[in-house]
This record gives sequence, C-alpha cells and structure tokens, in this order.
Amino acid sequence: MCAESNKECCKPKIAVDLTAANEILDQYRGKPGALIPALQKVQEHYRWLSQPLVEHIARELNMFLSEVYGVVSFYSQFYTSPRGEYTIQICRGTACHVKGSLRILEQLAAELGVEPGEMTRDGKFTVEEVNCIGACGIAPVIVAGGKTFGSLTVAQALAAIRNFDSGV
Amino acid sequence: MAEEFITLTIDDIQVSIEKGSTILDAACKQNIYVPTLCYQPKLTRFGACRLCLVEIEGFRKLVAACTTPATEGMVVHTRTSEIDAMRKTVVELLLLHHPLDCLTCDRGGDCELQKLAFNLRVSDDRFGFKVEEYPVDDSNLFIQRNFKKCMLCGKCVRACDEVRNVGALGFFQRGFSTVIGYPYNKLVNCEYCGQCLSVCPVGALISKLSAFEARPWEVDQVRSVCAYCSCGCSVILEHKRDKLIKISSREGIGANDGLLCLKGRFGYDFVSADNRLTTPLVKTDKGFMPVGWAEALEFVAKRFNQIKREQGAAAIAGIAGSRCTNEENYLFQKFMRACIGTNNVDNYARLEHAPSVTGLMRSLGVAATTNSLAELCRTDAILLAGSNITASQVIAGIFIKQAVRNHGTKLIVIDPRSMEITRFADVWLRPKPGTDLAVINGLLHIILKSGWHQQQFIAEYTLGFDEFSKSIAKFTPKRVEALTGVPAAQLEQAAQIFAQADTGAVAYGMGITQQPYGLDNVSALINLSLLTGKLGREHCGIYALRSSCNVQGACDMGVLPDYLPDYQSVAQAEHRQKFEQSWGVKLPADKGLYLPQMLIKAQAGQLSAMYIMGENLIHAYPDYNQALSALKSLDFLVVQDIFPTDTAKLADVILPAASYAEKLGTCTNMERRVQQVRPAVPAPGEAKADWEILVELSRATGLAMNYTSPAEVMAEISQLLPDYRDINYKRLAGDGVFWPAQDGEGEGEGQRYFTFEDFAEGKGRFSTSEYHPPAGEENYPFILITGGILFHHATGTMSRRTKGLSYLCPEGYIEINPEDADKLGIKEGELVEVVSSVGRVQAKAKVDDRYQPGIVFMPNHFANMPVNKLIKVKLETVSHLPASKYTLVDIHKLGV
Repeated sequence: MCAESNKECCKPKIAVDLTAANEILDQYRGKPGALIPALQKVQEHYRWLSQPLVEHIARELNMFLSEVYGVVSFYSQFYTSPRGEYTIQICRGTACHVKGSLRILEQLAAELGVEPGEMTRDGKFTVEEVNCIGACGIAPVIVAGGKTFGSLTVAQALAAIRNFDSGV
Repeated sequence: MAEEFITLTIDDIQVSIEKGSTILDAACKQNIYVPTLCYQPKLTRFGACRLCLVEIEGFRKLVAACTTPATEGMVVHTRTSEIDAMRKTVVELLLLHHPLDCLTCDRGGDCELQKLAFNLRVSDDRFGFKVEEYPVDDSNLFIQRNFKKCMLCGKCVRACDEVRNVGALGFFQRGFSTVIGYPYNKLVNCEYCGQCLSVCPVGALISKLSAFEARPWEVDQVRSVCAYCSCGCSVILEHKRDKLIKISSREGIGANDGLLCLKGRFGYDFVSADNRLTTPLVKTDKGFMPVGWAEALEFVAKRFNQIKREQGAAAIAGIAGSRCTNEENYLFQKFMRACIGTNNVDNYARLEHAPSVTGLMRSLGVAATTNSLAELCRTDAILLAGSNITASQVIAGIFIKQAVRNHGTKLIVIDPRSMEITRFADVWLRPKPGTDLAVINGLLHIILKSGWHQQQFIAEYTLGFDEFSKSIAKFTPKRVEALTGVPAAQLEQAAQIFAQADTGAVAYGMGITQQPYGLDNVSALINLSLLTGKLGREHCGIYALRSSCNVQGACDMGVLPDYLPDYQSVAQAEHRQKFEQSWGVKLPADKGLYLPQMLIKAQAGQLSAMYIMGENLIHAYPDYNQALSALKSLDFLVVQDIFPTDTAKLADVILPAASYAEKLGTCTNMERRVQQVRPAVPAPGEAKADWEILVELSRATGLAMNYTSPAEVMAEISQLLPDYRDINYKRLAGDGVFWPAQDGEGEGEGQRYFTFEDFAEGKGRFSTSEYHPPAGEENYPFILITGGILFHHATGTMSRRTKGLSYLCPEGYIEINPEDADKLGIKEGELVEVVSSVGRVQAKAKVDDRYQPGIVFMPNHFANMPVNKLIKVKLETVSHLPASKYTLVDIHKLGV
C-alpha cells in the first residue's frame, strides 16, 4: 500500500500497554528539556525502551523519532534491548580487574548462560560490564538488583546471584 | 533599524560586514576561499569538519571560521603553513574511513573531499588504518546511503530537520560508532524529497535513479521550470546528450530557493517512457493508424471547417491543459476564437479554482494570488484552509513550516483532515465537511463583535461593509459550534490570533473551492483579509493554492469562455476590438460555454466537436460518467497529448505533443511569476511542441497564425495583455518576472505583491452570502472526500508513468477511520466496495484516523480506481465549478 503511511501523524498499532507511559508523559508534555527525564521515568517503569515506547514518546512530546532515538542511542543509561528483573553490574575498573573481576564476569555469564549485555531467558537477570563504580576499596565489586557486593570471590559472587534466584 | 557594521582584515584585505556575522561570512563576502565540508549557508553552523580553521592574530589556537563571530579590528589569516598542514591532516584523517574508489564513485569529479585532497596533495595513507565494514543502506527507494563514505558532516540531518522540518534522519550511537541514518532503520516521515542528497558533499548519498548514468563533465545543464504543481520551482534539467539524467536545483534561484519535492526531483522519467506518443494517429475501423503530420492536420482542419459550415462555430469547443505554456494557451484560445470563431474555450482551472477566478475578480478585480510565496516565511499569522499543502504544493508548505519554526508565525488550519501541517498549527479548526463557510463567518463575527476589525482601513480601502456586517450577525460562536462541531473557544482563539497579528495571510486550496458554494467560501476568506486590514501590502496576501504548473497562465491567456486574455471581457466591444485589430478577424461577442456546459451540450447532441490539448479530461473531470458519455457523444474529437491517455483513446485524431523538457515557452506560477521553460532533450519521434502544432493546424484551417518561435508569441502577448506588458525573453533569463510587469524599461522582477492601486476600483469589495448546510442522505452514511496525495499529481498522466512514484504508491485506496473499520469488520488491505447514488468502485482499505469517523477519503489520481465514477457533480452557480469535494457513499466489505 501507499508509502504515505510512514508519516508520524498516522498512528501505528502498538501492542505495549501505554497507560503508565501516558501518566508519566502527562507531567512532561509541552515542557522544554523534558525528553531525558521523561525517558528515564518511562524506562524506570518498563525497564527498557522498546521501539514502540520510543515511538510513542516521540509522538506524545511532539518530537521527531530521529531526535528521540538519537538521544536514546547516545546515552548508555538508556537500554534498547530487554532488561531482566535484576541487573547485575560487574565492575571492570582497574582495581576490580587486578582483583580478578574478569573471572567473576566469565563465571557469572556462564552460570546464567548469557553473554555480557544480554538478558537471561527467563527474564530474571541482565549481566553487564560497567566501568569503575567508585568502590575500589572493596574490589572486586558487583552490583546486583541495586545491592552492592564487595571483596568477592567467584564462589561468593555466584552464591549472591543464586540467592536472588531463589528469591531471598 | 540600521544594521551595525564592523570592519576586519582578512588576508590583508579590509572587509566590512554586519555585526553578528562569522569570519567565514566575511571571507565569502570578499570571495576569499576557505575550504569547508559541514558548512551550508541555510543551515545552523556545525563547526565539525575543522577545515575552515583560520589564524587570528592574538589568539593562541586556530579557530573555526564558520562558528567564530567576526569582531571589530580582527586580523585574520586564512593561508599559513600551519593552517595548510592542519588542513592536510584533517583531510588525511577523513580519508582514513573513506574508501578511495573515486574511479567508480558516482560523485567522482563532483566531490568536495576529492577537491580538497587534490588541492592539498593528499594521495597516500600514512596511518594504515583499516576501514570498518558497514553495509550500504538501500532502504530508500531513491537514495542510497554508503556509511563508509559518510564523514558525519551532518548536512543531511540538518537539511532534513531545519529546512524541510521532516526529521527523518538523525545521528545515532556515539563516538566511533556514530552513524547517520533512519531511526530503527525505518523510513519514518521520509518524504523522498532528496534534500539530503542535494547537500551531501561526497558520495555518501547518491540518487539511485541517476547513478552511473554520466560523469559530471558529460552532463549539460538547462534551467527550466518544474512541470508538476503551481509552486513553479526552478529546476535544472541535467542531460547527457538526448537523455534526461537528473533533476536538481540550486540555492538562491527561483521561487523554491533550491528546494524540490519528490515529484520535482525524482518524477521525470515519464519523459523517456516507452509509451510516449510519437506520431499522429487517426482512428479507423482497424483502430488507430499512424499517419503523417500533413495528413493528420489536413483531416482535422477539414472536419472542423465542415462542422463549422454545417452547424456553426458554436458546435465546436476547446479545452486547454494547464500544463501547457502561456504561448501555447494563448495560441489555443486564439485558434478557437479567431480560426474557429467561438468563445467555447476553457481550461482545467474551471475544475479546481473557478471560484477563485470569479471571487477574486468580483472582490478585488484581479484574478490571482496577491503576494509572493517567499513572503509567507515572514508573515506573522497564516490561516490555511482546505489544503493538504505539504502534499500538493510542497514548497509552499515548507515555507509555512519554516515560518512557524523560524519566524514564530501563528498558524491556523481549517480542515477536517489530520495532516502533517496540522502538527504545526497553533489552532486547528476541524469542521464537519462542507461547513467551512460557517467557520469563516464565525471568525468574522467574533472579530467584528470584539472590535478587532481595522476601521480606518475598512473606510479607506473597502466597499460594502455595512451590508456585510449585517450578513454575519447570525454567526455567533455558539451557533457556529452547533453547525460545524468546532468549539467556540477555538474559534475565539483563532479569530484573535489572526486579527491581532501585524501581518497575516490567507491561503486556501481545493478543499475550499471544490464545493457547491465554493465561491461563497472564497469570498468569505477575502472578507477576512479585508476586515482585518491584511491586504495590499507586503506579507498580507490571499493565496489561491492552485494545482498545476500553469493554471494561472492558462487563465491569464484567456482560455476562458467569458474572458479574452488578461481578463478582458468578451462582452465588451472595446476589448474585442483590440484583439480584432491585432488578429485581423471579427471575434464572437457571446460568452462561450463553460467546461461543464460543454459536456452537457455534448451529451444533448448540441456540441459536435472538441479539441482537447494536454488534459486527460475523463479522469480530470470529477463526474466520470458524464465526461465519458459526453466525449462519446461527439462527432469529432481531437486530443493532443504526450501519452495515449484514456481521453486520447476516445479521440478520432491523436496529435503527439512534446513534454515540458522538450520545448521552449513560459509558465506563470501561482504567485504570478512568469518563468521560462527551456528544452533539454528532443521530443520523441515526430512529436511536436503544442505551439508548433497549433501554428500548423491554423494554416491548414485557412487562417494562418504565422509564428516561428514562442518568443514571437510572447511579443504579441506583451503587446495585448496589460499585465504582461514589457515581458520578453531577455528579461526572463533569470528568476522570472511577477506580473504586472510594466515598468517602461523591460527590466526588474515585476511586482511581488499587490497594493490597492492594483485593484480594479482601488478598493476591495466585501461580499455577502447565504449559508447552506451540507445535505445528508439516509442510505449513504459516509462522507467521501476525494483529493490529492504527496506521491502523485492530478490525473497521474506524468506521475503514474514514473517508476519511482508509481512504486511508492502504485494504486488507489480508501482511508477508513479505525472505528468505522471495526464496525464494518474491515481490516487493513481488505477489498471494499464503495457505493454512491451514481456508481460503485472497489478499493483496498487503509485504516487510519486522519479523518473522524463517518468520513472516508480516496485519492483521485488513479485511472484504475476511477473514484470520479462515484461523483455526481453539482455546479457552483456563478463560477460554474463542478463541485466534487463531498459525496455521500456507503461501504461494503467484499468477499464475504
């Protein structure tokens, strides 16, 4: 059919529940400089910014999709692929590296069956490398589900994750 | 306010320039060459390429000339050994990522980077960097993006955003991974205008249509005028010998200032289509047989003369195309009036803007848009009514979008359709179809009641105010809301914006005119301009957004049954006399038949012959059934066209014509700009320019119009038409001339905007009208609106024969609101039948919410979806426009 349907004024059919996004966007509509806080809030709720969400945000804030996606893809804080319930961040800063964080990363990834940056199949975890989180004194460090675990051995790191797994 | 100037020294030369200019501006002013890659005058400064680095005395570091403001007394050096070394390194670094495949690059020889490498003698790669592999992005039908060649200068991104306000392109990712492309690799919003292509300094973006057709130095360029809409864009026809390779434009020329739309830039290959008419054809028992010109013209002349002898000249009528040149239109009406002896001539304008011709004549005494298009960019308030302007007059649409974004223009849109331009509107009034007059009268009422009207202006420059003010008393906001569905608060807001702006323009399209009371709509809009004092000066105009490239010219040339050229009435003896003296014949004094009347007469057997030049009438006419039966009832039909259109197939004789790229002449765009159309390639086969055919045909009929060139015709036009006085081909060499053009000298650009001195009575006349609510009918619950879309033009004779446009939009469809689609169980892409009281048409459903429930839309460009079969026209009583915007239909899902 006609290519005119590529126009943003032509609303596509979206399968995502946008109720929460709309509630968030209601606070930002028409305000200058609203894009980044709006993206952060929406991501907080949906865990990651899927394409339909980004398209919806662009339309609701009356911005070009190219502009919004440009911002989303620029900042590492915005995620464009699905995120697990818990994010496991393995610090790969210098101190942690010296203290063996690479092995922790490899072992954790192997345990969960993912590559760094990926989400586990059950949608529980996302494993990612981060640069120094500023806790070098207790290297090597991981942050899992917002909790910080320091001075870890590989076994302790795995145990910490298994506890999450069993809901403790 | 006087501009403040500063003086600086660049390379030992003193330059004076407005305060706020950059060093680069100053250098450009003095023609001092500073290399750039990311700089484009119309775009925001980017400062990314680092090639324009210059040295300023007293500064520690080199600075970018494009972003550094020039200051008083500054001493700048643009060429030092340090700068050269730095530039050389910059180019070397750029070439790290850039494959050196100039031998097979389409931009080879026309590439900024290549030029720089040449100038700076960069030949080998001293870094030994490995170029990353990226796939080529081929997703755009017209434009290929090669990421390896992209230097991230961002011109395409900025052009798409700042110039076109489309925003299809962006920078994604960051650092080394940064790419320019479409978000999610999806062509969201892209209008295929090719603006990105036109600014790319290297071969990162190339046109797929012209790739590998020719090297830059093999190409010859001819400046001409686009053949599609009435914006009248200046185009550059690039041809290699006899083949049209490419169409481009250039910043700073013509009405469009370098802008083009997808039709203008990519819709040209119809010129070399296989099925162009190449020889005269005469219908015989065995179908159409090719004959020589002499035989064909003799036959036509013999038949015309015979019919004239037996039934009188009034039994013959002529319809001229609004895509033919002024000279051709002039000769056409001269042929009909002088050689045949009838005023039965009309043109396509009857079908689209007859109420504008009549309404503007009646109120102002001029039948044209009052101001230039460029003025829109700096107009404080714009009221746009009944036009999908970003699809049908793209460049005018861009000017309005730029005005909103850059000038802070307040935009009011009156239209039931949700369109791109409604996104830019401050107030969008969304009336029920057919109730526009009530909305406009509502605005007038509010302005008058609130005392926002310009009393002094009205007293000085207008007539008929008292009667008018009484006539709109009934249109209280409350009543208007009930009639139209437009909230009273929105009306108040719109009225205030327009009335209180310093300058304001009214622009309207066929959504306003193609209605049973279209003339009243037009007159009400003129009332608005008069009431608010927004007429007769710069930035205060009325814009009739016409469709085809030379509709204005066709009317100016008198292809009208009631007017001789330049709107000189046929009924007045002194007007006729002037032409009789020049042409050496007695002219008929009776008004001729308007186009719809011709068809009615033909159906009744009272019109025997018709001569149609450059119009696919049976599809252009909004009542297909009537047009078909009328043309079939004729004894003799001659069609002159570039393609065997459905109209041509009904003809007794078909005469092959030259396209716009193959002939010389002039066209007048909607802003009255007369411009030259110039040939780039020869016409195929034996096809001839319409003017040549007319000259030869006149010889065959016995009353010869002897012209050897269009320039000779123009010489006669400029003598007989006051508004075209002093226009000659020498004067048209550049950007054209706005009529009225008389200045005694034959120089200058004519008059961009009308003042009250230009109006017939020196004043504008208020009009009054009755309001007629649109009719409903029980069995037909849906309102069908027909109109144009971005990808095609008029009946598609040209656009549907270009590969790209017909690929982007190959077939017609019906837009249905999701609510209605749900109720009827219709899904996207399903075939439905649309039924009206006169016909039925099948179409694929396109479910979207551009219109409110109860309204459906079908584009009218497609011969294979003749939507006009559904329409029974109602004639506008004064201007004789066959109204078609609004038809009642029912819809059934097929195949259940």
